[in-house]
Amino acid sequence: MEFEFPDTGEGVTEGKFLEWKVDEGDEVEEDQILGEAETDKAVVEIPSPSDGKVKELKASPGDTVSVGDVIMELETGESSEASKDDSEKDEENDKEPMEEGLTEKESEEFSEKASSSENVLALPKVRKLAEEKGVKLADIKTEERITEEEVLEASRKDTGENKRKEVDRFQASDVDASPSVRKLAREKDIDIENVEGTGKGGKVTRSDVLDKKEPSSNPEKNRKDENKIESDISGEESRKPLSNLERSIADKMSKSKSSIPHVTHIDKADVTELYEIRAEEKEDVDVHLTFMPFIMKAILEGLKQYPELNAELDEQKDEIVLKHYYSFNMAVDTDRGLLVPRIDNVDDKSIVELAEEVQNKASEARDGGLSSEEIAPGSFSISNIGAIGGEAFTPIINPPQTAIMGIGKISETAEVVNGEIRPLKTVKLSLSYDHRVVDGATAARFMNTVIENLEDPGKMLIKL
Amino acid sequence: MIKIVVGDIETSTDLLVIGAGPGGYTAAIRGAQKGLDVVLVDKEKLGGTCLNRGCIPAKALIHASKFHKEIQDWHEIGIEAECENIDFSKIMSWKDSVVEELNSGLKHIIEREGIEVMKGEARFIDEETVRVSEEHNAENVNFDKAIIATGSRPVEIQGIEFDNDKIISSRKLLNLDEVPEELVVVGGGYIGMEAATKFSKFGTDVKIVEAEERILQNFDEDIVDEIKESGPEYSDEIYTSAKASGFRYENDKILLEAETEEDEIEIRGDYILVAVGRTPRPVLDNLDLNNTDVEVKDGFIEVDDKLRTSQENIFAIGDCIGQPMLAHKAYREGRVAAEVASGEASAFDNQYIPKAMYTDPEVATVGMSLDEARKEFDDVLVGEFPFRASGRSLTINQESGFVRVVASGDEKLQGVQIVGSRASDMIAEATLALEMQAYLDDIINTIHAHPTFPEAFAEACEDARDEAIHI
Repeated sequence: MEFEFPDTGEGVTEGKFLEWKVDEGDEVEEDQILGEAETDKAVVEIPSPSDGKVKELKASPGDTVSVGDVIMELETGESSEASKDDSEKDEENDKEPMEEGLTEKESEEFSEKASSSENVLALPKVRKLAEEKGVKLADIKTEERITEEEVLEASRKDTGENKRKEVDRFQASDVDASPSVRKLAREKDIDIENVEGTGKGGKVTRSDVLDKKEPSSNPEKNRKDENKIESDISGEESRKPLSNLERSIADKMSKSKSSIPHVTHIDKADVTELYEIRAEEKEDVDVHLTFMPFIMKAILEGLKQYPELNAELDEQKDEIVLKHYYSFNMAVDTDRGLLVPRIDNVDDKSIVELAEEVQNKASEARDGGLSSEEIAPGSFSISNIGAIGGEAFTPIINPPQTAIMGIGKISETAEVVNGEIRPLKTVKLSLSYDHRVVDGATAARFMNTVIENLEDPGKMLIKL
Repeated sequence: MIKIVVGDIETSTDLLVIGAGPGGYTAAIRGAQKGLDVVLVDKEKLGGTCLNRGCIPAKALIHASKFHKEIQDWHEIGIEAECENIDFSKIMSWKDSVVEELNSGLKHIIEREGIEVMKGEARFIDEETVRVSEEHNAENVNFDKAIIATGSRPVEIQGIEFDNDKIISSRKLLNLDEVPEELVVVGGGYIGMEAATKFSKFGTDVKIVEAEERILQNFDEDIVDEIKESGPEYSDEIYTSAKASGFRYENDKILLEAETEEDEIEIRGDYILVAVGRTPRPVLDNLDLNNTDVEVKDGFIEVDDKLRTSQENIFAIGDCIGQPMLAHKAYREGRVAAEVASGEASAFDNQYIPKAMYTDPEVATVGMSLDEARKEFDDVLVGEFPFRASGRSLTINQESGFVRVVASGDEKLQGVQIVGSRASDMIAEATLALEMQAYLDDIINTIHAHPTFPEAFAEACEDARDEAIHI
């Protein structure tokens, strides 16, 4: 059987094939991982659809593959059995017309047709239809008996292609859009074939084109812009195309920032006590204990009191969907770009369990082992830039979430406590939130709760 | 006469256009509008084949012949008149005056736009220079961008080469001194049929020799049947499956020798018109394209959707880049090429190119034929409206023909065929509708002025949904 690049969901239509985990001739089992591909969402593993033997690998690492492209020939028990079955039936079907007096040429043509449809199951009337429509039954992919609908569909595809070939020169495009809209798209450097039409029958309207952003990575346009300043600046430049992942991040970020009214609330927490507790506990546990699990627990306490921050805005219905589960996405810097592995059920897990999971997910993210399911948005996000450096920043909300907490660097600062200057371990927290869902007062109260919990870790730990 | 041979002068220009036919002059004017310096080269008059020796003079003669013929029918509506005599030389000079008027109008526009016209033949020296040989001198023109618009010439049949005397092309046919008694037309395509249309009405006995099984291969059979019914010139002396092979003279006449399946026949005429197609070849061969990277495949220059050849700064448009060889295709291409040359985001993205044939009645089509639609879609809607049910048709006593619309099952318009006295005018609305991706409702729900011919188009759309009012 031909194994096609599967639909990984979430509207992914193509990806970059990364590697095969099997060789030609290998026996494979159903669900065994055959290889990996990178889509614009994640690195996905490709499981085998059934038991069988790898006949031919049709995709190579680095290839761009689309959903439906054949990437492997797989020999399965079923397909050889089925074909045996068919050829018996075929013989019966083929006898009749062969006996009629055919000219030499006709019978040649006929045997060609017959041989190509030998290994398929189809009723005589379906075969007749296929012949009328000039469709080769063998080209129709199905596990079962071929139906009339399938033949008709194949014939449509077929004539569609032929037609395109015939008229290529003067019907260059059969885009469903009026001439002025096509021109507008060209002027905006938009490939109109990629614009989803909202008009009748999928017709692309003027506003569909206007709503579609100009591609920022269009080299032709960039070149034009460069030309404008050519006289001012000269120097060597090089270009690096965005990977699928980077392109997806870019799209997501600009969409979030341009469509959600962001407010960033910044405050400081004294984590001297937490610092000490962590130092003590660090010796007792095996996992690398960072501040992350403590911060997660402090945020969890805040979210329990202020559920609007653990929510999603349903723009269609103008309703806020409050989430009664706590799943945090955690921004991780990897070679491939920014990834946001998700940690579920934060409320049910201990500090040590969280520490362990944070560590595992981060290293899986760096190794590219995360599935797209594992990075799908949870209910809240945390970005810990402080591990690298920086006091405070303005994180961008990870839609459809409502808020994201940015963690700054923990450093020793001079604080005034009861009129005295004291050196304390402090951290700045930067909370970006969707002002349509949360107002400033709620955000400030939420932040106070998070800080109270961080500053009194003993109390927080008792609660856990 | 003293020939002054000027030494090598070299001019420079932003845009060089080779060929001043419909495609070339449009490109030149559009380029000038976009602010480019333009040089337009042609060895003949501005306007090319279409204006000087094709569409325009042919249509003028068709009008005159139709007028002449219709006088005979006037008594049907109560006007007793008789055409005593036609002054063919006066008709020809009227035709020439039409051409002349259009020509001087074009000349005026070209001058107004500041386009430099060079009368001569261009040859490429390299990818940015051509040498233009004018009558008494030659000079090099250096260009930034060039557009090749050299058109096409009539195809010759081996053994029956044009002699400009008795064996003629469509060009000479439009300049005959008198109405021939008998005319043999080789080729039953639209050029041949238009020739039959005009000359038979002037009284010529027109005989058509077609190598294929039927005339007008490019049109649906029922359309051809419809026009065959309207006049004997389309059905009487038509020899199909007949291959012209040679000729001989007999007294003042010329006899065409042709082979049919059964035997050899001879067909007598005052002239043999050879109208079996057109080719860009002879002109392209003279351009010295091998000094550039411009690629020619199967006799046509290869271009992309921006009409660029494989030589980046050289464009090609019109007949020399492929079928259909129609002036209106070249007009659009000329516009696109000049816009792309001036840096505009233009492209030849047209999905529909209408065709019009000036037989009597006229035929015009655009988009898919019924057969093509049936191959493409499972579900095809067809609507037809005959002109005999049209108020407007009856009021001018012209009731032959029909409008047929073809739509896919989702009611999206896919093609239109019109046979009728105003078909060539009516096809515009259909083409716009198709290019705008219209559905039957878009046309049905648009108010059509009454009484007019285009109402028939709307009614045909209604008929596709079994909702027509007047049938």
